[in-house]
Amino acid sequence: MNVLFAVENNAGLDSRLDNRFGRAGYFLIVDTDSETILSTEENKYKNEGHGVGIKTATYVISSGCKVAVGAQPGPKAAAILEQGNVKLIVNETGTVKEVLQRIKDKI
Amino acid sequence: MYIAVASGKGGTGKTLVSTTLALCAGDCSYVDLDVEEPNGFIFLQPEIEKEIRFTLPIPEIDEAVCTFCEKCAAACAYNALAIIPPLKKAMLFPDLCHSCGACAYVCPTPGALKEVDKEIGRIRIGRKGKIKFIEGRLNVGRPSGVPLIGGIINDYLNMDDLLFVDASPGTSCPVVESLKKSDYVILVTEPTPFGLNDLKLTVEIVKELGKKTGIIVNKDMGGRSGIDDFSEEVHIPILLKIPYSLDIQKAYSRGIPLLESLPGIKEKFTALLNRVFEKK
Amino acid sequence: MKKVKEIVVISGKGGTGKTTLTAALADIIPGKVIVDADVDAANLYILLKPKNIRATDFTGKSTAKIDRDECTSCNLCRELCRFHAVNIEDGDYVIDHFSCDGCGLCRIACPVQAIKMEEQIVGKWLIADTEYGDFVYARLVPGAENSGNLVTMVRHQGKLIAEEKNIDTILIDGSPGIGCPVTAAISGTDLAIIVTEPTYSGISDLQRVFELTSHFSIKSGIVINRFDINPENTKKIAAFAREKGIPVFARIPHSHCVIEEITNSRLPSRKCKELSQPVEKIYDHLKRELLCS
Repeated sequence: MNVLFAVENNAGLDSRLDNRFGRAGYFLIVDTDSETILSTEENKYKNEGHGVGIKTATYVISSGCKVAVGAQPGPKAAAILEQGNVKLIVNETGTVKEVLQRIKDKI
Repeated sequence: MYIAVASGKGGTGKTLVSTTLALCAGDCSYVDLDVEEPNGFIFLQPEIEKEIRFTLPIPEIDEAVCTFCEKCAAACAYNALAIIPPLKKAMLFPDLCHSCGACAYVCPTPGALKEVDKEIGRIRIGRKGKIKFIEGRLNVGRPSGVPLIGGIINDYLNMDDLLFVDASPGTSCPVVESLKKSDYVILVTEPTPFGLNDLKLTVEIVKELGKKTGIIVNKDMGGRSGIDDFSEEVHIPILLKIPYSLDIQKAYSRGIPLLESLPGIKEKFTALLNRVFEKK
Repeated sequence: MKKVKEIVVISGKGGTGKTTLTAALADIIPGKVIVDADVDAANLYILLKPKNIRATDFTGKSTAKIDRDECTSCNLCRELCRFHAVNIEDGDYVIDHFSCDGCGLCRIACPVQAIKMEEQIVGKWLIADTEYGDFVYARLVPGAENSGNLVTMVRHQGKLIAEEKNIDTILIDGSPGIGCPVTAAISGTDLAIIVTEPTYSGISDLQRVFELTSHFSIKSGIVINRFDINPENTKKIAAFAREKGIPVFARIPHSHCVIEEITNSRLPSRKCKELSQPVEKIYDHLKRELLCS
């Protein structure tokens, strides 16, 4: 299954989850079965003034991922993700590798 | 003549001064452009004659017609629109929308996006004796009072009248909007380091706008303060010092105008007004 | 990692003593980062006396710029601009930067691509040391907008420091009013202290600011400053608090001592009992409220 991670830095599976969703540094899409990274994208919206969550949430939906892991998004972004039936996992911290082990049975 | 009463810091007595000026002048308009917290009505107790809904256009998207090309969302500098092609969904977040019209301009599909009016605040118009009362009141949660302030200045004020305008506090866009059309700016401050700090910031704005300016020191404790030094340094006169008095504050807390709570103040305000008129 | 608790001090209108109270709390709450989010009138620094200041420029909204050589004076941008920001000066089309809202419609519409959007420096944010803890604040260029954005930035910097140093409380001096900067200052905080005073305007402003905190479902408490200048209105505020189920954390009396200390840029709660005693009460409330949240 493809899962999107909102992370701070670009360090593959060692990237750490960002404590912000809309303004996260990078978005990684990970195939949880093979534990490989399918794509890494810098968050081009992170420095925008307004409505950053709206842009990133729209991006998450277009990515096709049905599960997203990261910090709690703002109310607007959350509303968009709900429309797209994207499941959010928000109470995790640490690296993608660590989080993967913990959430495998949840998804 | 448009006389704006402003202060960098809130709570310095801007409303106290502007309502007192209006009450002294008599035949004039009092305009409350402190749209986030319009409080002048408390002191003037006007009879409200009409209340007008102030609206701005915001987009409305017909999902049955929209092709989800995302051109509108790309054009929106405020990210107020979310267009989600895989879901065939268009969502607007009205509190981010600045009503610039860019979305409607770029939409290539006839009938997909139209602009509808949305209330962002109210304008109340009334009268207290000879004083005409005009007030803008922003709805809670709106991003900016600037359009409402601009709307009142452009459409509801007669520039030939004597206007006392209670401007927004602070030093950002709303205050600039309230000062732009003014002939004279009265800055109200208090003799504390806070008051001085904010006065300096406001003076930078009025200088950039090139406005004739005077200072009123409220809650004056007697003697010289940093405000006196600053006034000399930037060549902006201190027009009046209103003494610090617990009685004034108690009266203020009950909505009693300064004219009734401080004997002899009417003469001082009248002299001040004559000085301001000469400057025109 | 501990969850950082954010406490924000706000008031419906300016001049209610919000900054003085924040400074007093900064003196009494141990181990916290202090954030001055009242960037429109950043005054907390006067009392906290920051040292070792590190400043970073903050670029905010973009505004339009017309290239005179390319412009054909077709007037389209001027017709379209809803902010009336396009002026004609000596025959040239120019943008009034005070009026330009940065929407970019003129850039999109310009048939000869003569308009560019340029980012403006709208202020700077600063990190400094104080006697009371790490301090983040900002200076906005007078007349600049975008303070909501800058508020988000200073709060974020405060959070980074708290996380880095494992500090669990952030004390925020919020903006007065109910506009965008206040929204940015309070969203996602754990507790809002609403400072009000028993004046007519104090009460109506309290009602408006409470609408905002309840909209964001933020737990709040009221502090009535200078409660003794109008006992009747103080009762009205207390009744409003009861009706809405908000606790009154403390009542602070009018005090000449406080005014004198502020006039001399000193922290009034150090000398004036009239202030320091209620502030201790507020701190007790904070401990209770935040423990059970």
